[in-house]
Amino acid sequence: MLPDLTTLTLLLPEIVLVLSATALYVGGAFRPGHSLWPLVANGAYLAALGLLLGFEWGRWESLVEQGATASGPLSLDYLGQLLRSITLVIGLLLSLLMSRTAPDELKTEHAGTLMLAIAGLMFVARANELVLLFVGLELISIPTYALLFMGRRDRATGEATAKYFFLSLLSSGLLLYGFSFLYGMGGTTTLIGNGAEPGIREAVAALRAASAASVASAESVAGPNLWLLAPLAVILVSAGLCFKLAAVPFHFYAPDVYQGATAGNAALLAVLPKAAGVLAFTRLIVAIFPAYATAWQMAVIVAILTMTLGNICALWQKHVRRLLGYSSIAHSGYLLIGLSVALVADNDALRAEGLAATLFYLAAYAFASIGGFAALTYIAETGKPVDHVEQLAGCGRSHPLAAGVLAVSMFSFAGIPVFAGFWGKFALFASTLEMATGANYGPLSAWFATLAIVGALNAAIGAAYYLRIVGAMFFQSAPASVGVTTGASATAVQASASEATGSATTLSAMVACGLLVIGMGVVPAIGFRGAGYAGRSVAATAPAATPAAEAASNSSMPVRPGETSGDTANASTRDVTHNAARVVADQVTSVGNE
Amino acid sequence: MSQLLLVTIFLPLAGALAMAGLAPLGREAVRWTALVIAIATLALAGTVVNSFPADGATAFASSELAWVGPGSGAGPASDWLPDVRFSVGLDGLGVWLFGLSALLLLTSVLVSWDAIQDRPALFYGMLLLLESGCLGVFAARDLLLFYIFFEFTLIPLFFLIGIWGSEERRYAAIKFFLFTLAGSVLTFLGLLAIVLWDARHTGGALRFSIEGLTQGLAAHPLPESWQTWIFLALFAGFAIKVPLFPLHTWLPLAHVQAPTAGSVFLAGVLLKIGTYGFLRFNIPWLPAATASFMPWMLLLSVIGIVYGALIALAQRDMKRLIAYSSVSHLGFVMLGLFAINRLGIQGGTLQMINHGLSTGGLFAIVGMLYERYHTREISQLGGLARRLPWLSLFMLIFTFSSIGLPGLNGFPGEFMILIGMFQRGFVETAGAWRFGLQVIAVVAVSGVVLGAWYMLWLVRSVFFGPIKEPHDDDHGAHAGPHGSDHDKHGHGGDHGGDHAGDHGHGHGEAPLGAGPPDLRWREFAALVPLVIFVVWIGLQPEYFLRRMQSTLNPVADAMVRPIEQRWGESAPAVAGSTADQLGSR
Repeated sequence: MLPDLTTLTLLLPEIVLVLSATALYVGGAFRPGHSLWPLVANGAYLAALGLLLGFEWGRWESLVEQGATASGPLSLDYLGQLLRSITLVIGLLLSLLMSRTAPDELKTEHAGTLMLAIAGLMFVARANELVLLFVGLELISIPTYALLFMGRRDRATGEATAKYFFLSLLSSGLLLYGFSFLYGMGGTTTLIGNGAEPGIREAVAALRAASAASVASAESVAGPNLWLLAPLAVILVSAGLCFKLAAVPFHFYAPDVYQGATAGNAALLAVLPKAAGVLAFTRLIVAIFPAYATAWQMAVIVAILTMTLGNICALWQKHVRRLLGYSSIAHSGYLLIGLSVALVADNDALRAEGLAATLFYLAAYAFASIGGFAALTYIAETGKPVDHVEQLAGCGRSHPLAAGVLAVSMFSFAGIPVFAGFWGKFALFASTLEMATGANYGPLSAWFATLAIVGALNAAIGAAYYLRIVGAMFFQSAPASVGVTTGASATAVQASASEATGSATTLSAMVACGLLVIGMGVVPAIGFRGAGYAGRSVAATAPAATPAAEAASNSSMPVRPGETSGDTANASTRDVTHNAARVVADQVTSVGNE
Repeated sequence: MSQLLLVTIFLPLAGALAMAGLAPLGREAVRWTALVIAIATLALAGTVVNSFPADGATAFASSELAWVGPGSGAGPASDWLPDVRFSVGLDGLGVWLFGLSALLLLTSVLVSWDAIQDRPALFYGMLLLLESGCLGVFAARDLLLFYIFFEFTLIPLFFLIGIWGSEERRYAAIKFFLFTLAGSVLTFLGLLAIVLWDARHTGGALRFSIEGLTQGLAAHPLPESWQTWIFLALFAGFAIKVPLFPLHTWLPLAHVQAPTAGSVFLAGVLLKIGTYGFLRFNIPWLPAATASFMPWMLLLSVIGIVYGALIALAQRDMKRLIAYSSVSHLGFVMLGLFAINRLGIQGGTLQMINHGLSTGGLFAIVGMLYERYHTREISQLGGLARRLPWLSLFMLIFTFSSIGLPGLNGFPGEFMILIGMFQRGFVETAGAWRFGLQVIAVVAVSGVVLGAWYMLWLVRSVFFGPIKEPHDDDHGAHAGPHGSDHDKHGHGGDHGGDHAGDHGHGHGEAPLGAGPPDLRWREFAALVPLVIFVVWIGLQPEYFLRRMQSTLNPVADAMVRPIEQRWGESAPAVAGSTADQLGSR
């Protein structure tokens, strides 16, 4: 019997990447330095992107209309599709950025390893299965260890890599332990199933309802009450993911590792694990435990602590990458704002809004991060060391383009219009305040009003150190030219700077990121639309919360009048979704046969 | 006309982008292009403002482009997207501030003509970006668009202060940026809360149209407890921008460190965004909170008036003196706005324009003096009226305008504000604060006296009496306690400036020995337009007021009832009902 090829076609872009990576590994060993390899390294991303956008083009529209069609190991939803495309763009940018800094004798290995990590993130984006998800996460982590070592081989790098390696293993362990509880509760490894084959989500919802009913009726559940495992599962999985996100209290590796890594690797660390963390958090916590008090309260507290701690620690940093390490911690806090709104929301629209805000913010953050680190790489390539903020002095004059991109990234991080970051913060604050000002949320209002205000104040605190970087570049003259201010010497400085130019690849990555950040800011509608569909596709799959049960078991969710009607309404939309899911599942013949 | 308005807003932006291309062509090409763009912007803005109907309008020359939300692009249904539009238009509140922004751009370009030697393309690019932002702020008819322009003005001014400022420029630029940002993020939350309230009642996606929100809030007024919080949130951003008394500390620093053009813009236009925001959003949208906070706002304003004036009296640096005088004058504006009657609000709005003209002119003149003598120390200069008669004449005009001499523009503004305030204190309010308001009104008058005192003292010391001028640059730079302001960039620039002045345009051979030349053609061109309006508003305030009235009077009239409810004779009963309302929530 012929093997069923549907699953393979659905994973074609990933397969292209993995095959290209293999070709790079094998071929590079025989013909190192061949001019074909850079072409393969960058072309593979374009080919995969072409496949993704072209081959599956027709499916995008149906994804929008039908919401999620999760079944089997792959979730065919808009979220996955969108994140895979963005991942490929990120992969191309990172590949361009790192191609020059990689050591010559390891060029092909370097490119191949990066490609595997990108493929890992794409698997995570599409996984609807615990094992596949975990394999995807590891496929990101393991190449990252190798890349960190390849970047630069000195003591600091060694220490940073070892630290990252051990902590990453620890977090994987925590995550796996959490997965075991999820599996124990659900009895299956499929995350989101359908009526015929329930996944973990359906099983957990059933357990929750049974438990709530037993509390309400004061009778014990038949058999062991597995719902009692929920806090353990949520906390362990969140702990593992907080490491990926570099959120408090699992943040402390980030500054050390960023400082020890090359700028290119720092960009990789700033983007890939965070995107994976957000995706996994969405699939594992938001979709499975909607409106679960333990989960959202933890998310809110972690968000507040993370952004405040990250921003305040960053204020005192003098080392650029260390500073950006703390800044990336702060941005994790912002990502958690949106995720906690999505977690707590009791209706699909608001849940979708929270997720959409998170995704938009993630994209804005990713492009600004890569742009910023690319600018640092570019400046370093011209022979000017950039380890300390003060070493950036005079870059505004000697490297106007790189300094411009870095400034754009910093302003976007700070959330100043009209850069992408502003719209990210706008979406986050809008969803948070919608939660805070909602009509019937009672005590929830205070939680989310606090979250919004802390978030807003943090935006101002964060601006302080971003402006320090911009100020160093533009407001100070380079140390060498202090005391000589005539026009002639200024041109001399420019001339000397232009002698050593950075590589064209880094330049293109840098400029592309700058344009993306500005473009997302000037034309935010496209990004909002995409993020909105993605958020909706997951929000619709999340089972309707059981607020009545929640209210019975947890006093912080007040019982609201008229929620039974809302509940039935949600239930009916869910049925519609499931019917749609079944239709598409038939079209995409037996994806879920495994 | 609506196309013209869009072109006016985008022309400086296009010019700023063009500067990047012109940079290699050198300073001449850059500054002439900037001048051409400034003149074109002024002409366009003049045309738009001139055709503004004489009896006012609410949405003159308005146009709307979808940005986010419905109509912003192809794709399946997405009615959940926030409805943000690029929607601009002028009304009686924005129209003169819009014109003022265009007017001050010309002044700014001309006063920077020789002073800016370092990276002129970047400088003029930033100046033009700033101009686009300011024009947009006053024309925006969409809440988010307003906020975007409001925030966006921070970036160009940050660079203007930070790159071309004096010795402490880096600190000043960052302090300015952070102060403003810290306030405006809270403002952002407040504005979002208003939008969310509106969306909850209209049931649709978030909408940001200022007009739509005004209607929405009229149909479903915000509950009083919301109003209080939102008022405080908006206050955070706008009061820092104004700046109101305890939040003013960033302003003198930013002014002293900024290059002349930056100071002109900052004082002339950017501070008005704060008062504009209060008048545009706080008063009409949060009537109950406005009524409750009115006495406190008036108190802060009057403290600002007196405090700013007293500190100004103690200054030895001309720029710092004028900066503190701005605190005092903006206190007057706020006093007028929060007197919340027709006279007060009209006077306050007129005074925004007046302050922009007179203080813009004063900063320009201080910049010109600095180019000539490389000092801003009052004690180092004296008797300049004999050396620089034309410059002194302009200085006198702006001084008299600033202290409210009848016949010049300051008079109608201050007069209306004070009358409005007296009306508020002695006629209109009967509540517990009545006596307090009367005291505030009386104390505010002393601000006029103090204002005259420090300005005339400045003019007397610098322009009259025995001639006193620093002998050479180095002496001048290092003699005074604040002489170290004289930073290296500035030094190089000033030498170049003198050079260009002597050889490029040999217009002003100094009459007495080898002193610096009097006003050059470009300096005349920078100041004369301002003077025209100083005199015009002074002689014919009616022309300007009439165009505002139809927008401003309804704002004042709508506030009569809330104030009556809060502070009227039956105030205790109202307080009881407030408690009821709170209890019922």
